Amino acid sequence: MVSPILIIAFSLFAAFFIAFFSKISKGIGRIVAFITVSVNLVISIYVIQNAMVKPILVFTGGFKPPFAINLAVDQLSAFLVLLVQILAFCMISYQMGKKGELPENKFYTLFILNVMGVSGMMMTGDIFNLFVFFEITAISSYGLVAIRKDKAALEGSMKYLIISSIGSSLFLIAIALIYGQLGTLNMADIAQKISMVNGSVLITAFLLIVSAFFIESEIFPFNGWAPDAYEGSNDTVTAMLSGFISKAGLYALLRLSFIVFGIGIKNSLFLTFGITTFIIAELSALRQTRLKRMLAYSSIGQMGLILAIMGIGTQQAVFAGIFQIFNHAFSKAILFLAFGYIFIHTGWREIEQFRGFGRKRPFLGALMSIAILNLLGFPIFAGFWSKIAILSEVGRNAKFLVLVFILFAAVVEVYYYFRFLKISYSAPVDDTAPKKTNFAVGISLTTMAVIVIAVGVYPSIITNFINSAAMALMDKAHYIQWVLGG
Amino acid sequence: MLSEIIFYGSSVALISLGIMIVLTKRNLIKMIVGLSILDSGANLFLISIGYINGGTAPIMNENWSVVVDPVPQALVLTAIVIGVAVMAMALAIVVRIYEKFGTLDIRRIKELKW
Amino acid sequence: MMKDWFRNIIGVIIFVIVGIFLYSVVIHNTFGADKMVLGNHYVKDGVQETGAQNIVTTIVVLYRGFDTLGEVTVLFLAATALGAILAGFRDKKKNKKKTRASLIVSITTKFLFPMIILFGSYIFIHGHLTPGGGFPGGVVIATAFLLMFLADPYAFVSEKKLSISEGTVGMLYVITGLVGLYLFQNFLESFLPTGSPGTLLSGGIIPVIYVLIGIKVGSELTGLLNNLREDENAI
Repeated sequence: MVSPILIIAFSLFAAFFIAFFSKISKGIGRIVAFITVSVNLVISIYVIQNAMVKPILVFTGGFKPPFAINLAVDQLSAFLVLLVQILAFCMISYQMGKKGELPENKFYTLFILNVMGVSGMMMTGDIFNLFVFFEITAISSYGLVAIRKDKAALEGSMKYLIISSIGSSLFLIAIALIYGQLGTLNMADIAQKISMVNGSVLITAFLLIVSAFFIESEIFPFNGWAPDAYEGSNDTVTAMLSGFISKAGLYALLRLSFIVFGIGIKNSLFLTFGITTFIIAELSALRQTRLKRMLAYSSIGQMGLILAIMGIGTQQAVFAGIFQIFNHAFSKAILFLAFGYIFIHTGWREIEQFRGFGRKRPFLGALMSIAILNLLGFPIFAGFWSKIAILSEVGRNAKFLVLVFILFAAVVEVYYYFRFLKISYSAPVDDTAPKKTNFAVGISLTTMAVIVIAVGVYPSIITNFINSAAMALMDKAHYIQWVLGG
Repeated sequence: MLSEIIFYGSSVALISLGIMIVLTKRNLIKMIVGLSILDSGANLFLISIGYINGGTAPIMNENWSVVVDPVPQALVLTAIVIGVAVMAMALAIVVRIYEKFGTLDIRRIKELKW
Repeated sequence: MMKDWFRNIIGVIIFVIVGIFLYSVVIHNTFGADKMVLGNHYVKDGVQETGAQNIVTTIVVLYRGFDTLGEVTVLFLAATALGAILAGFRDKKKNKKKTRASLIVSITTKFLFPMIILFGSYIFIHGHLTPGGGFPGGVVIATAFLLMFLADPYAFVSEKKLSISEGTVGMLYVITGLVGLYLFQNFLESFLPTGSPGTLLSGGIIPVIYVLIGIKVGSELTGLLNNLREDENAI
C-alpha cells in the first residue's frame, strides 16, 4: 500500500537534499528534481488506482480525525493530483531541454515545493492545513515569477504577492470565524456541524473564502494580478500558473463550497462571476497584440467558464467542468511552453511576428495548432467531448441566457485563435525561428499532445475517472461518513 | 464585556485599517506595512477567540484548573511564521524593484500596462 | 491634490464599513466563553497520550505536526526565494566602506554571543515543559547573529554552512516522520516512549523535533538576515 503522504514527504526530502548539496554541486537540482517528479508520478498512479476502489484516508501523528490532521484522498483529489503530476513531469522534461534559470538549484527547489504545495492542497482534509499548503504554493509562486529579476517579472510578482496576501489573510479570518463557532478544523467535522453555525457568520465566512480563492483562481474582479504575472514570468512558470496553480485555487473553492459549506447561494454566485469573467476576459484577449498576454486572458476566460459550469450544480455539470479543467490544463501547458521556447530563441512577442511561423517550423506549429483546436473543442480532440458536455448540460437546465453568453464568448475565442492560426500559416516573412527543436522539449510537448488526442479518440480512458470524481464532489454525506467513520 | 470590545474591537480595527492601507496607498512600502497590519489583525482575532474567562496558559503541571484553548495558539504560531516569510519575500522584491525602477510609487511602476 | 484628498475619504469609508460589518459578525463568537471542542480533548487526554506537559507544544508537534512541517517549509521557501531574488545583487555594492561599531559594542557582543546561543538552545530543548519551543528558540539564536552583524559590518557567515545545516536538519525532520510511517503506518507518529510528564526526557519525539526545528529556524533566519543585510547601503 503506497501512502499518498509519500508524495509530500518525498518532495520535501528532495528540496532539503538540494539545499544540502546546492553549494557543492551546481547541477544537482536538475537531476534531483527530475527524479522526484518521476517518482511522484508513479506514486500518484498507485494512489488513483487505490482511490478508485475506496477513498484513501491517511492519518498523521497517529491520532484519528478530527483530533489530528488527515489527508482525505477521494477520486476527485486523486484525479487532479495525477493531472498535476503528469503536467509537472512534462514541464520538468521541457526544462531539461534548455538552460535553467539562474540560480538553478534554487529554481528547482521552488519548483518541487510548488508542485508539493499544489498536491497537498488537493489532498488535505483539514482546513488549516489547506491554508498552510495554500501559502506554500503562493510563496513559491511569487519566487518563481520573480526569478528572472527583470522589470516585468518583478512587477508581476509584486502585484501577485500583494493581492494574494490579502486573500490569504481573508481566508485566515474565515477559518477563525468557523473555529470560533464549531471548535474544530477537520473539513468533514465542519461539514457535519455546519448547521450549528450562526447564519451571518456562515455567510461572512463563505464570502471571505470565496474572495480568497477567486483571487487564486483568477476570477474577475479579483484577477488584476493575473495577466501581469503571466506576462512577467518565464515559460515553465507561466505554464505552471495556468496549468495547475490556478486549478488548485479552484479545487479548494469547489471542495469548500460543495462539501464543507454546501449553501445554496454558491450556484448563482459561481454562475454570475464565472460568466462575467469569461466574457470580459475573452473580449480583453481580442484586443491584445502580444501573444502571451492574449493567452493569459484566454486562460482567465477558461477559468471563468469552468467556474460557471460548476455553478449549475448538477453532477453532469461538475463532470463537464472537471473535463474542461483537464483540457485547459494540457492545452495551455503546450501553448505556453511552445511560446516560451520560441520566445527564448527569437524574442518574438507580438502576434504579427509569428507570420509564416507554422510553415517554417511545422513541428512546433502543429503542436500549437493541436493545443488551440483542443481548447476550442474540435472533434478528435479531447476538448470536443468536454465542450459537448458543457453545452448539453447548460441546455438541459434551460439556462438560455447563460447559453447565449457562453456561445458569444466562445465565438470571440474562436475568432482570435483563428486569427492567430491564419497569421501563423500565411506566407512566410521571417526566417529566424529556431532551426531545430530540442529533443527533450519535443518529447515533452508531444507527450501532452498525444494525451490530448488519445483522450479525444477514446474518451472512455478518462471519463470513468472523471465520473467518479464528480460523484465524489457531489456526495457530502458520503465524504463525512468515510472520513469520520473510517 | 470591556475586554470583548478591546480584543475584538482592536482586531477588527487592525483588519480594516490594513485593508484600507493596501487599497488606498500608492507607496509599495506602505502597502506592505498595510499587509502586515492586516495579518496582525487576523492573528489577534484568532488568538482572542481561544480565550476563556479566568484561563491560564495550557501547561498541565499539578496546579491547573481552567486553561485557555490551546489550538488557536498553535495556529497563530503557524500564521505568524507564514506572515514573516511573506514579509521577507515582499521586501526582497521591493529592494529589486527600487533598483530597477528607481521609485516605489506604483503609479510609476507600469512596465506591463497595455 | 484634490485626488489625494478624495482617496483618503474613500479610505476612511472603507475602514468604517468593513469595521462595522466585521464587528457585527465577530461578536457572535462570545468572548471568553468556553467554546472548546477539540481543545477539551487535548486538555483532558493530551498529557496521557503524549507525555508532554505543554499542550500547545503537543498540538504543534504531534496533533498538528503536519502543519508544522509545512510551516518550516514556508520559512525554507522564503529563505530560498529571497536568496534567488537577491542573488547577484550584492556584487555591485562591494566597495562601499562600512563603519565598525565602537569597541564597547564589539567586545560586549563577543561575550553575549555564546550566551544568547545557549539561551536559545535552552528554550527549544525545554519546549515540551515550558512556554517556548523550536520557533522562539530559533529566533533567539538568529538574534545572536543579528547582534554580530550589527556590531561588525564585515562579519561573515558562510552560506555554504548555512545551507548544509538547513538541508541536514530538514532531511532529518522528514526522516523522523518517515520512521513513524514505517513503524506505525502513520507519518510523524511518536515512536519514542512517552516517559513521565514533567521531566526533560518525556514527550516522545517532541524534544527531538523541537531541537531540529530550533536549529532550522535559527539557520534560516540567519540566512534571511545575511541576505538582506548586504543591501543596507544600497538604498
